[in-house]
Amino acid sequence: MNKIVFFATFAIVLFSGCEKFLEEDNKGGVTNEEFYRTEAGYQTLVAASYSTLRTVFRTVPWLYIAGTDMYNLSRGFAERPLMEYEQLYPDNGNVTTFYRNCYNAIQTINMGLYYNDLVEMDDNSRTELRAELVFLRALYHFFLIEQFGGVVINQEPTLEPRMNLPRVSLEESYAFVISEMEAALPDLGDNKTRVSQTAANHYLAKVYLTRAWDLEQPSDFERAKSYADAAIGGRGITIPFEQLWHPDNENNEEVIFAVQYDLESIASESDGNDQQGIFGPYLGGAELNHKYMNGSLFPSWNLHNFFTENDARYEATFMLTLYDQYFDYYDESKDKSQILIRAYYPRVWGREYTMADSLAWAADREHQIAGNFRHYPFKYDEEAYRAAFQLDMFMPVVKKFDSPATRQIFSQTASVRDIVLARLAETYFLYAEACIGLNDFATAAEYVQRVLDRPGNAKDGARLLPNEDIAAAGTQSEALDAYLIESAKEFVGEYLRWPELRRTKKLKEFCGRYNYDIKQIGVDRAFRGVDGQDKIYRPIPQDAIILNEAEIMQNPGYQN
Amino acid sequence: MSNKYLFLLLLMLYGGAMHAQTKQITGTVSDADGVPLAGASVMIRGSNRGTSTNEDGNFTLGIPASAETVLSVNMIGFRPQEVTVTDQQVLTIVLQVDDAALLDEAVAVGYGTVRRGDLTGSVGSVSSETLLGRGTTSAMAALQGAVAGVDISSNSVKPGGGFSIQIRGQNSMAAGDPLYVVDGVVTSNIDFLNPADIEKIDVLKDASSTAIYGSRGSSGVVIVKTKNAGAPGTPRTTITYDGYYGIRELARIPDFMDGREWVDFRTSAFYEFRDGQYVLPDRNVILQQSPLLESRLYEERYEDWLGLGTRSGQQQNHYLGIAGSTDKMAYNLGIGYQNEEGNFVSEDLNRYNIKLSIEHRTSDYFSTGASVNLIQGINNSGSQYGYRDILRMPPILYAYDDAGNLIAQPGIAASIQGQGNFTSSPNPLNEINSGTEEVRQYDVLGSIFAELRPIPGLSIRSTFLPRFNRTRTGRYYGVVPGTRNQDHAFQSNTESLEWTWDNVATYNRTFADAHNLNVSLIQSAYSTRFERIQAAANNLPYPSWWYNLFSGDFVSGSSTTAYSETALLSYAARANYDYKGKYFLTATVRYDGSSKLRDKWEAFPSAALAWRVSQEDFMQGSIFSDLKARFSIGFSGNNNGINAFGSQLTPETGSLVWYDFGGEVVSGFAPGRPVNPSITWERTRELNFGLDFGLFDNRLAGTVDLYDKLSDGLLMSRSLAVESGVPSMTDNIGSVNNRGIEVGLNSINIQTADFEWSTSFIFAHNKNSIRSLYGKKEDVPGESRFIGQPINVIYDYRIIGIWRMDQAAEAAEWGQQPGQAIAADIDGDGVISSANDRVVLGHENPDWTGSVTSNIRFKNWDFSFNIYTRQGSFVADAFLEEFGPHNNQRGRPKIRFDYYIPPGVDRYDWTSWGTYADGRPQATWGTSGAGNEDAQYPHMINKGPYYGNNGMYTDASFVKVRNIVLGYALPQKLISRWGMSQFRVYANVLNPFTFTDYQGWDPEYATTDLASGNGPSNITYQLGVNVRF
Repeated sequence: MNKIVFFATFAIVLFSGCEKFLEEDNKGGVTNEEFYRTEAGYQTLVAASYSTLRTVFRTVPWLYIAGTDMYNLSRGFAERPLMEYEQLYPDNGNVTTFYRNCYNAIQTINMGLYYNDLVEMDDNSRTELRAELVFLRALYHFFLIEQFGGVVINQEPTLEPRMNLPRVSLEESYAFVISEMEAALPDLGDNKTRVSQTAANHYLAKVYLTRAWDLEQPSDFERAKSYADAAIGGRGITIPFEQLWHPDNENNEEVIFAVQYDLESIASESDGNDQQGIFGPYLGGAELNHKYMNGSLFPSWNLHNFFTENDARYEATFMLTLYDQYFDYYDESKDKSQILIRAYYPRVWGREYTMADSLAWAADREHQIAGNFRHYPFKYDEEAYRAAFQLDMFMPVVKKFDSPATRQIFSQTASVRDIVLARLAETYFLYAEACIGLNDFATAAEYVQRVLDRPGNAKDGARLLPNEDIAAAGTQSEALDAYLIESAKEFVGEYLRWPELRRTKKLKEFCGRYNYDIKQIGVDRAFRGVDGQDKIYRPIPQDAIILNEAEIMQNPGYQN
Repeated sequence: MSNKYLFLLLLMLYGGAMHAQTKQITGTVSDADGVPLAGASVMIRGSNRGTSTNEDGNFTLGIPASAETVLSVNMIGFRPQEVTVTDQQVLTIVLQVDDAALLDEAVAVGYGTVRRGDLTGSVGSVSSETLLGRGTTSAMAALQGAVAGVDISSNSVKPGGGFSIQIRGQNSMAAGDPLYVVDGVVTSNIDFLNPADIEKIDVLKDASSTAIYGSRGSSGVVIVKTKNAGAPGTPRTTITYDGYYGIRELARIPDFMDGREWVDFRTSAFYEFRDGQYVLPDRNVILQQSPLLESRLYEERYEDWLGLGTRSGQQQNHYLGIAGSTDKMAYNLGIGYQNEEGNFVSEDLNRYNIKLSIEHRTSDYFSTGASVNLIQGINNSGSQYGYRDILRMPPILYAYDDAGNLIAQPGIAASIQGQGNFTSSPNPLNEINSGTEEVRQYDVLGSIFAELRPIPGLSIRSTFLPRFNRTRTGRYYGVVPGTRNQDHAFQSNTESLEWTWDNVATYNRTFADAHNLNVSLIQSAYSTRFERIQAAANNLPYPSWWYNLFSGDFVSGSSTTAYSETALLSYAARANYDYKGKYFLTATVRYDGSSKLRDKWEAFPSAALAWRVSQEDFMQGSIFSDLKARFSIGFSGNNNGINAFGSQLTPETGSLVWYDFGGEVVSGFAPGRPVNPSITWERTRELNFGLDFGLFDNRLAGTVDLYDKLSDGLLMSRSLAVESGVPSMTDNIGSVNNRGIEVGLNSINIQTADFEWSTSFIFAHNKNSIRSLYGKKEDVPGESRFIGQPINVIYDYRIIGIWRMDQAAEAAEWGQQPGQAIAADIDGDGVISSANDRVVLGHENPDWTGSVTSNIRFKNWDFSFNIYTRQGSFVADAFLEEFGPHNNQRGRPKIRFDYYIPPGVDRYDWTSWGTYADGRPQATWGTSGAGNEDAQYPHMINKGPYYGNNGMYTDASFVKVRNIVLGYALPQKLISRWGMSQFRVYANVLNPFTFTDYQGWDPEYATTDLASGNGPSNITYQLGVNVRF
């Protein structure tokens, strides 16, 4: 029986040590409290907040570009619902992803703001970082407003289950974004790779402009103008277009806000973004050493037609000659008059390209023409332009976003170029658009012209003029039509078009006029939802409606 | 105390008496047929003196001359017999084959064993013979269909592929793997064991059985006993050899489209709906204007890609064991080798194991022992991309050019002499040749114990059980034109050390010849420690596999380290009481503390009652040779749903987040998910009612169990409102019910000296249903979870047809087009909506499983087969996802299926051929005529908004003949001359037949994805031998 006593004693000894035995020692990890309260730890939380921009924009941001006048369905009919509206429903994966990404970003930022009060750091840095995060949070809410109308405002970190988050009115949504952005503005710095005062002014101009159209408040156009003016800050448009987009000229004078990328700041070689590969057909596999085109969207025939003969931006936007390897174009050591040419996309204005033109071009280049040479002159007939769209390489791809630094990596997400979200030319356009809203077409024309007057824009050295004279427009609608064609040319491939068409209430009209695929369906039919209303906003994702205990109203044109 | 001294005194007196005077006796032990039995033990009852029979079945033994001596004669497979020695000097002892051994079999119940006849809970047992008889390389495969209520499916056709297992249904939203206990060591699986080294597997199913494992037993417990030393006693030496060699052949290849059918399918997938009709916008894209492809189609000469990537596999298993004992010492040595070559080129598995086990009974008061099991497994799985891609190559592309060289990219314009790329995918054979993935796994299982028996009936045993595992995964893939411009190497090393320290005190006593009491007190500590480091590099200067990573360019994104640790502390007590072997009572309680939880401690009690009706007087003389009713209730627990450190609010330190501010690179950690501050144990309450019976002298024996399990406070991932910015978090919410019935029947149909035939049936049915979610009795459609439905349901629109062209107007009212799938308007509101018109179409868990095993012995021949079935499993099928209607990749092979073809569209006319200028045949275009508008599946790329994943749903029920064995045992008379007690040769066929409507490779692993081993099924033909000395 002594043994039993012994055993009992033994058990008691073990018991007393047991609480320690069950303590966790997370050697490789750290708790939020330990980490984010230190300045170093907090900075990583700020980095994570900025990094959310990569999550949202690193792969095709369908919601910004699909279903507009500027792009057609690709060979694989990728994302047909967003491209054509007809089959767009609340379960759409890309709409859901965008919606989720925005709110996930907001959560990260909310955590950043939560620890902003607790972190041990000097108060100047604390205030500036707070302003950056407050602005970013407001920006995400604005992104959501652009796509969905009134939104769910989330301004607290989720630390426990939250199931009831009501959607507020469009008015309230705007009021939140504006008050937050305006509150942040004075505390921001001037580093353009972060959120700067210029960026805040630019986006405030855009928010007011969008609200002016959405809520039909002319006074907002005035506010938009004054914020745009502040963002412009007296600066002119000075960088030639080709140089503006040159790979070595990132974060240049005209850039206002960009998602930053760098060869050193990606986790693996394919952790970059795909902006260089979105616009245009597949250029073949790794064997050809061209860039990896995911070929999601094809620039529309009408987009090509918006460009006039005198416009130097056409050559600066599209890669019209494909050398031996795609990125040889950027390689100074390669003699472009000697190396092989794999594809050529000639265009003559006002008529079809002829055999005679071909022979003339080839005359002194015979030694450069590769065995697998492709030759696709621009077709002046839209049907003819579309006819060959199943073929690889059949049209020129957009070159503005090329990333030759990673040319050896054959991956859709190989680009380490920054994704420019806002630049000075857009600020000018915002100002012009606000003027149109106020029916001041002359000033609008003047601001657009300042962008067109970019050095080198006119091939003949004279002045590049808009396709239609904005100042001479008879109605606001006509002025907008002219204005939107100019913005299409200036901003090819940038992530602006869909929100721009939506806020100016030109979405359906422009799709009906210029989008080949939607014309095939018939624009009314394409846009008409089951409830008989047009699908102008995006559908609130099915998941969001199902999981939210609050009653969430679906947008017109969609059925839960 | 007095008892102890009395015992000692008696022992001394007795021992003294033994040495007083002896006489010699001799005898022969034989079976009922008169065949002498070698190796039978003959012991003097109440002592540890004895001997064993020689090869002629004879023995000689000195016995006390004075006292009446009782000899106990034992031999495995025979009923023990006691013989009272009277005057005779020569004994003839005949042992009867043991059919009723069932009741005396020792069943592991965790920290001890009980006689099956005394069992109060529900425990299924599988013997070494059954496991060996299946001839599988894996213990799990051998266990399949062997125990009612244990549902095992293979996950992969790869050598060393894994299994999924469920015992009595899924009772946790997190995967509920049972607890595996190998010789007392808790392991995460039993895949590393050689089936030939396993002596027995016991599966604890009901809560009263699993309660002794408390928090860890809610998904059942699988207790594996390997061939260890055994108790010292009978002097003996046994040498065994079990081995087989087998060939694996591909079998049951699904019905794929041939070249022309496939081109038709591809054409259909280019049809576009424009202006109210389907058109083919561009004929040229179908074959990329390639006369070469047209010639192949004309001649119908296609590539057999599958054949190029596969081969005949083979497998072998050899296990040599030596076991011996003297009166104080027993040992067991084993050495094993397993080899399997898969059907895909370069897939193989080699496994070696060494086992040492020893036990020493120092005195009547003290024993000690230890065992070590060393295992090395080397598994090559080839390039997963290679196998995926080889199955994705269409039959009209060739792998080799005319000169016999591999074509780098069989589908590019140059290779097909066409105008454009058909596909730019690289040649998968290049990928297969480019590299492999090798997993090297080292396992060390050890145990050491000391047992003290201070007084009769009391034993105190302390066991320390460490387990060490190191797993190294190496990957190397070389440059492959068209897919990889630089080679890639990767290595991952994980190291884990787990240890268990069990201290068990057991007291066993019989009072007044009627009351048997057995009490155990258990204290157990368990600790795990895990580390991982992995690194990757690209662009190595020469192929150095994964052995010289830093000669290349370091890939930081694929390189990580990790650490985790967990601890569990437990106190348990169990009491078994029975009155005269008629009434049984078991009570168990376990108190567990887990390091992973905030609210760490929880108690898990249970109780069980059994009534051995057949022991009652009124039952004597009835047809029942055994009848026992059992009832148990108990609680068990689970904390599988949460990881180490899972209750801490932490940044996501496992994944670095990157950004830069104009080249100023920053990296950091996003905040992790929120945590419920009071996260605690899942608890499962289980009721079990069971009946064990034996009829006609146990010629027909069986077990029936009914159970009802209710698991509450489930640790599950709950989705939060999307706008919260947190997709999901782990919480104790929800409850799930499992109810079921299990039947096991064993029947000896014929039993004569020369001919025996026995059959066993197993049937199990389980109904899984969710009782509450997030603390409420409300459905959560966003997660496809519904009150009253099983956890794994398939929730989607119900497809009731395809819109035809003549219904275009009606289709338009629903916003749809001809060729699209029609969904049932469940709520009849005239609108199809995701909220109201999706329904539960089925569930993945089977309605029932069953198996039939039949053994026939005629003289020295034996014949057996095993049939297994799984019925009512409805799955989202990975095969159809890839090769069926789900996947709209029009460049990949497809099985023949009934798809929508619109009328009057361009389509090749294979009956008439034109001629090119150079004389080669030219395919000509015709039309689809009336099309195929009453198809089962919608238009490939215009399925419509409501088709969802319907293209991959299928019933995966099947009946499989698992194996058929024919064996021959050499006659005892012959082999006893060579000193053998058994020499049996056999032929075994594994998986010879499958009966199913399932269209893919194999219904058993329907949900495994292609890259993980969802490949062609196989049949294995084995020849084997069992030898025993």
